[in-house]
Amino acid sequence: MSPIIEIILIGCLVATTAAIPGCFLILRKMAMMSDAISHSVLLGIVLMFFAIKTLHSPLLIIAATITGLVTVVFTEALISSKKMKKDAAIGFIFPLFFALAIILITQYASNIHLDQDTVILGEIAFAPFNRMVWGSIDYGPIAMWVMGIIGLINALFIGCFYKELKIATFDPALASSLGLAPSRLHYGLMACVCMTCVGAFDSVGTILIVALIVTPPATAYLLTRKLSTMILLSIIIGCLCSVLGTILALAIDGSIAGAMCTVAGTLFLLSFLFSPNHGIIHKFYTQKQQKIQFSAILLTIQFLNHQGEDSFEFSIENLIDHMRWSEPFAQKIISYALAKNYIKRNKKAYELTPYGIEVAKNAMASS
Amino acid sequence: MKKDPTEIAVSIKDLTVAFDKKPVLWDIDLDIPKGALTAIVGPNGAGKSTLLKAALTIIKPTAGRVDIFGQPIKRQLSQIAYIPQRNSVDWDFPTNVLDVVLMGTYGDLGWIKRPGKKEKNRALNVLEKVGMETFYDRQISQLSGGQQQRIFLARALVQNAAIYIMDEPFVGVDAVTEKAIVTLLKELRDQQKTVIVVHHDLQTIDEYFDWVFLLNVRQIAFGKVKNTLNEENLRLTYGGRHSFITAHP
Amino acid sequence: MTLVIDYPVIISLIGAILIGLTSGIISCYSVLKEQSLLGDAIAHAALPGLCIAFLLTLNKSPMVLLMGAMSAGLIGTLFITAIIQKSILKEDTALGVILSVFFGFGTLLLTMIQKIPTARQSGLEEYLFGNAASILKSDITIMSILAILIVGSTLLFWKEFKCLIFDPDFFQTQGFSPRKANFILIILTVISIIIGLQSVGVILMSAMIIAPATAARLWQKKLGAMMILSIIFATTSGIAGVLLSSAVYRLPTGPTIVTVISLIVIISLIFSPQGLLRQWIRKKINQRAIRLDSILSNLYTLAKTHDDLTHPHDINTFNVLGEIPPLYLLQKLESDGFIYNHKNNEWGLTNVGISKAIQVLQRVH
Repeated sequence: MSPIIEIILIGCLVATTAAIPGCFLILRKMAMMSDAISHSVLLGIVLMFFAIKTLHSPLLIIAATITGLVTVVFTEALISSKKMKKDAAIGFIFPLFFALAIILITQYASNIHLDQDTVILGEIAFAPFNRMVWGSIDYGPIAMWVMGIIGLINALFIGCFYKELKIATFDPALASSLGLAPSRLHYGLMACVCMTCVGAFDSVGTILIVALIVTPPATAYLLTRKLSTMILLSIIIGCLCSVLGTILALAIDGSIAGAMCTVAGTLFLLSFLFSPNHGIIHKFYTQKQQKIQFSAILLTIQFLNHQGEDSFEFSIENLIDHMRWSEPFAQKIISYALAKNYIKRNKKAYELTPYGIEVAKNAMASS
Repeated sequence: MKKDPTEIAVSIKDLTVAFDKKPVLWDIDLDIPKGALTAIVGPNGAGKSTLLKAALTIIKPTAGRVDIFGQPIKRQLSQIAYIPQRNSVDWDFPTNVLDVVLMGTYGDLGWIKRPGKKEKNRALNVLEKVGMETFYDRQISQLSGGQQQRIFLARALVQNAAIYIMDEPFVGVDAVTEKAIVTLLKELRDQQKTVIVVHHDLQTIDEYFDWVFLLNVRQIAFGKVKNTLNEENLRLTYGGRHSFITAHP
Repeated sequence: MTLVIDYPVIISLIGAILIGLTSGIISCYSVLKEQSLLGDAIAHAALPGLCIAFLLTLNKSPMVLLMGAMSAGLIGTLFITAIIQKSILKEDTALGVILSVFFGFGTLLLTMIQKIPTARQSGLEEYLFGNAASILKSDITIMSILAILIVGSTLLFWKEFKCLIFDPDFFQTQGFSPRKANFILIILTVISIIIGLQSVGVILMSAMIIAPATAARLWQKKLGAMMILSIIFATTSGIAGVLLSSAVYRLPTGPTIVTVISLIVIISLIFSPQGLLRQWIRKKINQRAIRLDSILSNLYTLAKTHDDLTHPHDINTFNVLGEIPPLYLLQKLESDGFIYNHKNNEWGLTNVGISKAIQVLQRVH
């Protein structure tokens, strides 16, 4: 395989691995927890590195995962102790862990591979050079194997507990009444996030993994409301980031991880603007339509409630004065209601048609 | 319509509030006379708090206007003292009782100007009125529910407004405080102030209030308590779910 | 470790004090508004702004970089607000997306800048972890102006900000515009974060927005006092960070500052008046009191079967009623005069003990 293909493949693996727990994180309103975890795991990596003096051992992943979980436990303990609010508790622990890790690296490990820039930016471009060689056979880059295994674990965890996670996410009270142990599921999910951050640390770096955990699921959530579709879609979007990101990085000779994030951001922006159901352009248009429809019905109710009163209640001046509508808006609603045959002209004012009366009564009955 | 508009303290015309396309309030028309002590009553989700917030311009209505003494609300905010639900704020906020009461003078002061000796004296006076004068230096997190409500009341009183609008002032307060608040409300009414209270306890309406506005998204009825609070109107307001209050006269 | 206070160190120290002052103030507002993670997002979002400003002008003057960082920080904040208001995504997701995407885009630009031959020494990487030594006299001038702006606005809008955060609805009914006040506060937040980037760095700046006020809040119960303490904490850690990092070879400033301020938070968490230590001691005292009370009430229950209420009982019979009390608790009660030791394991209530036990039982029922 050519290195480029390998880079893209590793990128796809990272993106897929990240997207799976990412979907649950954003649904559980815990996206920022991934930011905290991704920073904290560095401390575990550094400490274990000092213990075993190598960067290529599964022990590193275990140590880092434990540090990530410690962060989660500390953060939650701080929240439940009521000494800090949620945001401050999330934001307090990880800078400390990260700062300690950076200090340790600069003081004691400055000559090895573990330098500051790699930590933050990762260097996926070098991933194909670290190869898994057994005897004389080359099994491909190590990063591919690491991410593959972690991805498999994530997929297995979510696959096995899909139903339980779904209930625990949307209705935690129901989940615990069903005996589903939401807190154990929660820590399982957190362990997945931790492992993902550790595994991806080499290739995309500490912070950019957050982009891959949060952004593709967020993009997918703007496009669909079905959980299984959302997971599938975020995997596809993640892989798209990997492919397009690598191409972009090669074209402008920049950081691949940075380019992947840029693509992820662009895709997010596109769906934020143009999503057929939840994009803001669609929303803006339908809301305007809805507002006109709603206001026309409001008009019929208003007329119905004031039937038999002063003819002023039925004039356009009333709409401007009492309803506080602007004149053009009032005109627009009147013409809409006329077109819909809700009202008809009666000298200087308007009156309800029989159909309009029916519309008003229906609207009132259904509210 | 022919009445002197200044005799109507709060006039709400054709007020509709909708979030997206879900109406929360449908076409409310309400004229509350000056000096009335009014309860706003309705089931959960009836839009009681929304009505208050829309009337105070905190929420922008889809349609409708609110006049205070015949003038558009925008220019009349200083005539109104608002007492939000007690649990709408964080009582762990680092401040003391006097500071919270002083917030009632901010409207008069406007931007930038700070409360001075005059404002502090006013604040201490109203604290005495609600029986909290010895607590002026107390950290607000150390107050009981009843005391918190008294502080909110003091913050409104210090504004010396013509209209008092309160959201569920009796929730989570002790019986003594409840009685004290009611006495104060009646005092305000006797001084020709207009008092509007979102209330949820049907049992106490005719003891505490003179007027009642029954609301369930749409307006059901408004009038003197003895004429308005009847079986028929309650059924319209609460549907079939009001059997717990049938003991009411 | 050698510490030489020379001219560059003094410049860095002035910088650290300015950062302590501004982030100490803004920290209070961010923490009380429960929006402290916004600071994290703004700091990260500033990176592409720095890079674009540099790419456009190929100029590393502090003014240019500050303007770039500030615009990017503001744009990031606007995006976050738009996502929260206009889509179904929640605040945490909006923060995560903007933080990571802006930062990722920034790193892409950073790698491109590193490839421009003339820009190799741009020093933009310093902004990742911060380096107080890179602060120059011209930076100090601009930082001072911005710090005065923040302090001045805080004094001017003191009551507005307080009321806005405590009760925004009430603030509005007082005739103020919460939107305007909020906007001013956001601008000040962005400025204070940008001031700190050079020393503390993009990645760890959030700690300066969260930690000082978090610690101060545990000691102080009034906003003014809390803010002063928050400023003291932030400044102390800034100064300590600068001195340590100039004394120890290769010690980065940002992480050092963050470690110091975090230690202050941890100490406050444990030892402050509302701290965990005091809470723990109070709990222990309560538990002990409950155990002592239950010994008395148990002895009373056992004695009730006899005519003589002071009749002694073997404490091992307590196992039917609950725990068998340890000797030190019995001795404590004995020295208080509530019980007496008959022989070996047998203890009985004294007359004082009887009335105390009746009190306890009345309190329970």
